[in-house]
Amino acid sequence: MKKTLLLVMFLLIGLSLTAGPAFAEATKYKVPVISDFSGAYAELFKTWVPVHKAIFAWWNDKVGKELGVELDLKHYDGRYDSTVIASMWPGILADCQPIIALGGGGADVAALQQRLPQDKVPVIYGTASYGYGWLPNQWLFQVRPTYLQEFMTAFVWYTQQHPEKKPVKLGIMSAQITAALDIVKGIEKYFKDSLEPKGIAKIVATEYVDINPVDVSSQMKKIIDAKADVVIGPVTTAMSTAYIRACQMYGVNIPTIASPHHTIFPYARAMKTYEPFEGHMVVAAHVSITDKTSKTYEFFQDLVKNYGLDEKFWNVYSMMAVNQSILAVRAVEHAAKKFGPTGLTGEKVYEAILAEPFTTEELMGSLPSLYFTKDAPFSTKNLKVMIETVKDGKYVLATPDWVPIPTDIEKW
Amino acid sequence: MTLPAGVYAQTYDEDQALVRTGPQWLWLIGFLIFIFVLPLFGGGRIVGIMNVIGITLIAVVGLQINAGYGGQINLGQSAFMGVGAYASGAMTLHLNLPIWITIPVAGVAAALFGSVFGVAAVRIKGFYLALTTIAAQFVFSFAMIKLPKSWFGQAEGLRLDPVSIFGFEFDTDRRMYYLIMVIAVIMIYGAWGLIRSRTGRALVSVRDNDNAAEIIGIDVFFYKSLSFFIGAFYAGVAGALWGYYVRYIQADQFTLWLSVWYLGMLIVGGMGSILGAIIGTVVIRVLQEMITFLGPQLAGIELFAGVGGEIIFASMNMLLGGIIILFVIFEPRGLVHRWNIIKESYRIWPFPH
Repeated sequence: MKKTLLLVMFLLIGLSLTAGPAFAEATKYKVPVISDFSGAYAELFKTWVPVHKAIFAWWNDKVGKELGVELDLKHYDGRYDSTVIASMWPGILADCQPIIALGGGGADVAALQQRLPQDKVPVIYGTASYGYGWLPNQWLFQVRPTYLQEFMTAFVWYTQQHPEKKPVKLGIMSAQITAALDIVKGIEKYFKDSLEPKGIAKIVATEYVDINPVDVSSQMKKIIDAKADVVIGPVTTAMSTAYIRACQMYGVNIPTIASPHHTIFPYARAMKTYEPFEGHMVVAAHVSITDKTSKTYEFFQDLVKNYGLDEKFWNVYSMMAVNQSILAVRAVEHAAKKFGPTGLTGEKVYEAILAEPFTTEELMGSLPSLYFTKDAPFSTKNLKVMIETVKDGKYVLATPDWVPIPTDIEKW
Repeated sequence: MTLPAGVYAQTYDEDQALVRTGPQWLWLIGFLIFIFVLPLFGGGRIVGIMNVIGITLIAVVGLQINAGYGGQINLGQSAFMGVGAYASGAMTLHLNLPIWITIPVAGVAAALFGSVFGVAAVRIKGFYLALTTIAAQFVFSFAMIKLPKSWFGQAEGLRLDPVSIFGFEFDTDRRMYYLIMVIAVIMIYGAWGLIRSRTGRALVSVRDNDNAAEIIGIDVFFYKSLSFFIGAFYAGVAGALWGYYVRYIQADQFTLWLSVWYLGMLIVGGMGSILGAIIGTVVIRVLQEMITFLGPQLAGIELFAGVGGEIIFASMNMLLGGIIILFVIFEPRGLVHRWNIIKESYRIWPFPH
């Protein structure tokens, strides 16, 4: 009898546990991602999408569950086309009522930048910024400062490594497109305001080529004749390939400074060798993929083991998605802690982004601590980068530490 | 006594009327009412799609006048649109002019820019003219990036606040919808009138045989330039609306690729027909929206997991190009030709077409 009573009691307890939820049900929010599945950058999104999914799954599991928030990713194909994105966005607002969104790049910035303050949706980007995007009161947030700030940090670091070359002679190779011209303009201003008066460096040649050139040998000849020590400029894989071919033709090796996704990594992926880029530099304000002792790599391994992410996605492209996703989930986390898990809005998330910094620990070591203000769409404090290079045919860190971005770079 | 069969005009005015029968009036009024009430019932997505369709339609109808009726191949329509966007943006930003001035003036600015390439059309045709109009694209981008920053903002572009007319602010998608649709209807009506006029007939004669046209006294130089002027005017108006809709204008938004798409819309819809331009624009835009919708869906379905996302994405991208190739091979006169056959078959039913 006693046994039967006990059995019934256990059964009742078990039933009550399975019938009612163990925790209060999480509040679901849809997070739209403006992706590119069939446009110019579809190749990039093949690596971004799995990373987005894994990080959001990890956050829902590890943080969201406890907070009572569940984030549901929804990818939209913007085709990296402003017209498609402009037509799609009102539908995204209606479908998702987003409290935050992930952006793809320049095409959606062009289509959405002006309307975001009215729509009240903060949008997070994983790429670096431009001078023309350095504006106050933005609802788009970038994990990295401007490309120019990153490039100039690597350049100044290079001048410090080679005091014998003072003034270091810089060659610029650029294309006649808005983004590339913005960088040239910024370099010229910084040289004029700071580096030339101090006798640190001077610009000796500025050459323009196609954005995806087949051959840059004639422009390269002028840069060689001007005796440039370093070149800033290759912003596409085609440009960097043509640059290397021209260097080989003339029997020179003038190091370049570029972003990780511009030169060394994409070239090596295609050509299966890092050697032509011996001594060249790539720079970004996020952790280096060459550092496998980093907290970010440890985090990535957790995603591989427990959230179905493929190891092959540890590369320079997916770092942009890692940074973007981690900032987005932490922004929602800040908002949920500040305002509670229910009734979150884009405005509340925006307030939370500006209210408190995001520490490097929160960002899984992938980014330096970020301090967003209304002055710029990126953090303007505690800016630093990591510089990578090719040494003895291996892709390695040029210096093991984060390098601070010079504070005297002003908006151009 | 026998009664006349079919629809026939008894006066010249009846013969020239754009809408000729009672049922046609009913359809037209019904369609206009549908357009008017659509945003009241349609969701945000529908309104967004319709806004872009409306703007694209104006540019494509302009291209139809230029290429379809005037016979002048034009791959610079997107650049002409950009000129209109920048002109209207600059007038709004620097001179604070109302949109009922800026939109037509933007059209004229684009038309003047377009006429420059119309002059070249007098001496060259076909591929050579296509190359010249491609130059318009590069001249436009270069000029907008290099002209003084105080004019067009250089790389930074122009940022606009919502525009208004008589105190009514176009600050939402639905409000912009009405502005775009009203202007689109006016422009399409104007295009229909134009192609049925003396000017329209002159354009067609130049297209069909410019030597013969000259012999019968048509000023070929004038009409070739005029076809570019009118086509670019439409593009300029579309550009102005684009600028006011997106409120951010940058040279990179107006690409050669966009001009190619506009031409593709004409091929699918049918060259030499305003209705063809409308059908082509709507069909291609809807297909693009479908691809936009289907790509992520298919990639997420287990069934297609083995195929690989990259193949799905590539297939989606090729679908649009494939449709244009199929039309060129199997239906070079476009969907409007199919529509005309359906109409004729219906009119003579039960007799076979």
